[in-house]
Amino acid sequence: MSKRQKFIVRRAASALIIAFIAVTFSFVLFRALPGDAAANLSRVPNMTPEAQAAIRAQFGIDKPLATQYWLYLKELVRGNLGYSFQNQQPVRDNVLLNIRNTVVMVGVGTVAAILLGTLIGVAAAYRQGSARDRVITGAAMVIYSLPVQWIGLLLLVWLAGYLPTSGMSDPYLLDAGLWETLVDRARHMLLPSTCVALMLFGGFALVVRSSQLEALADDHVLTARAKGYRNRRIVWREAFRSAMLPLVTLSTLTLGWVIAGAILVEAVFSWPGAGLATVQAVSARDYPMLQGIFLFVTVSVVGFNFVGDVLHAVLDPRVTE
Amino acid sequence: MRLVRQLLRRPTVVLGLAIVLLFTFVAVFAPLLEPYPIDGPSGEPFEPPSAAHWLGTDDAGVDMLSLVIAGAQNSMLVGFAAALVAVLIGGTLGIIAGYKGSWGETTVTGVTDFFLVIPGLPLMIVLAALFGQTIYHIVLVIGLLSWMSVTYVVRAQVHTLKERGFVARARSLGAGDLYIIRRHILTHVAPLLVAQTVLTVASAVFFEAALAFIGLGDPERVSWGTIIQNAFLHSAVSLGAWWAIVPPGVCIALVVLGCFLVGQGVEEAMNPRLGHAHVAPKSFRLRRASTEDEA
Repeated sequence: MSKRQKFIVRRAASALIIAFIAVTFSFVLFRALPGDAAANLSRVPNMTPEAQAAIRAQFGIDKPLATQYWLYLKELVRGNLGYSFQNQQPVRDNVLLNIRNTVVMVGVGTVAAILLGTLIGVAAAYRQGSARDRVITGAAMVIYSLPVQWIGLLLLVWLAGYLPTSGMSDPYLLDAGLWETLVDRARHMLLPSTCVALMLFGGFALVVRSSQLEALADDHVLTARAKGYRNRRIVWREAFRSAMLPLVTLSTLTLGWVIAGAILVEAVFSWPGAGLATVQAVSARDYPMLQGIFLFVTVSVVGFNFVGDVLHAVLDPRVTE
Repeated sequence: MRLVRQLLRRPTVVLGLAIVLLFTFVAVFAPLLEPYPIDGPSGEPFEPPSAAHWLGTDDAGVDMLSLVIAGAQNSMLVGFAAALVAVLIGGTLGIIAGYKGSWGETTVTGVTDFFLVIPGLPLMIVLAALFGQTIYHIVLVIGLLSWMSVTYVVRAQVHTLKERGFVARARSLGAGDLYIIRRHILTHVAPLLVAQTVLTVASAVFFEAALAFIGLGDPERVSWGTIIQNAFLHSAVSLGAWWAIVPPGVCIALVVLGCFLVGQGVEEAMNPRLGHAHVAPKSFRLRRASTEDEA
């Protein structure tokens, strides 16, 4: 096996182990709850101990913990995450629907943030310590420090009259053509996606700036300069190509942070994604739903981290050494 | 001391320190500074800023300035307490991993990697939802999930310290591990721990606001997070009452920025080669890429 293959196999193994521990962790967490699904029922009038026991048997919580854990793993592998307390639908279906909405909205915002952050970061690194650099770094840091829910609320205050402020589509838009539906969706998405982009781009700009500064100080850039290439070519083709690496790693490593932001943004704009579902599950104490989202998000983050590691290894063979 | 003098020569550090100290002062003396009581109305609902109410009033007619001052108390309390928890755990684990090496290090890095990968806020939400929402639980939940970056930073520093001459000399004179750690390692890691504490305060204040916004704040106490949530729930947005939203957010941003300037300054002064290689007051995640013995 080549070094790279070995690296990938080792990373895959560690990702699988981490995912398994996370799944177990989630089982322990939700079993550590005070009381169980039948405990509250003792307050229900005419509730007999027999009926309670029957409910416990129905939910399988009368079995020993090891058996419960085994059942939990078995059902998880079959894709069964239980049923939501709120709408009695399978948690899996709810989560998949929510995640789809989140991915679209957050994806657009993240891509915008990466593009914007790259442009601004490279512009700031063009001449370190110049007025432009200072203004950009300062502004990026300030924006980076602002709580995202607060940015969202201010966007709402300013733009409430011009753009739809909540939800994903206009409920009164009936029999609309494909084009009209798309425009309606895009209009609803504009504010939340902008909010995600604002939250992320400051961090991206700062990282691009610092790695671009490092790259510009590299020997090969000096060579390029000696060869008399134009500045634009030096900045983008010579320096930025090597400065891109941290951006790739960062994009996967900040995923946990993106998710945190998505939860808050969706809460502000009532965007029907996984974040809003989390908030609703919390207030309705819908534990199966909460656990389902947590499992799904955690396992996907572990997966994306693995993809990021592999991508990094492909782009920069040094990491497999 | 040389480090302190060196730091005070940096304008950004002085600015950051001033901001953090100002808010700490406000937090400590909050009850004396509030111009109006916060448990009852002192004006009309959503009064815009005026001479009597500098920052206006909220949905119940409570003075916003008083609320923000009272909020400083709980937000800063959560920030510092959670940071202490995180630095205690992270510092201990980092010293163990860096000093012991071998299986101790493997275990610690394994556990740290696990918690780094698990998305922070969702886990905090789950924990806060499961175990109730008093301010102590919130401190614990945030502190128990913020120590990972501290571990890595401290471990790297202890690694280099261990190879230094004075540690070898102390050992050859018969000094025990605990003595070396207390006398040589801790004293050299201390400034780094301070920097990490300050940086963790920033992320803790931020996470407190996030949890509060989701409805997982301590219902008995006012914090900057609960003020923002309250404004959101009581239609400050549709009434255009920006003064009920802006002040707490500005306070959070100032504290985060101040902590970041101080923490970054200390780290740079300790390790000038570090440059600006990492930026993440909220999640230190990108730091991970620079731990050299990864992979």
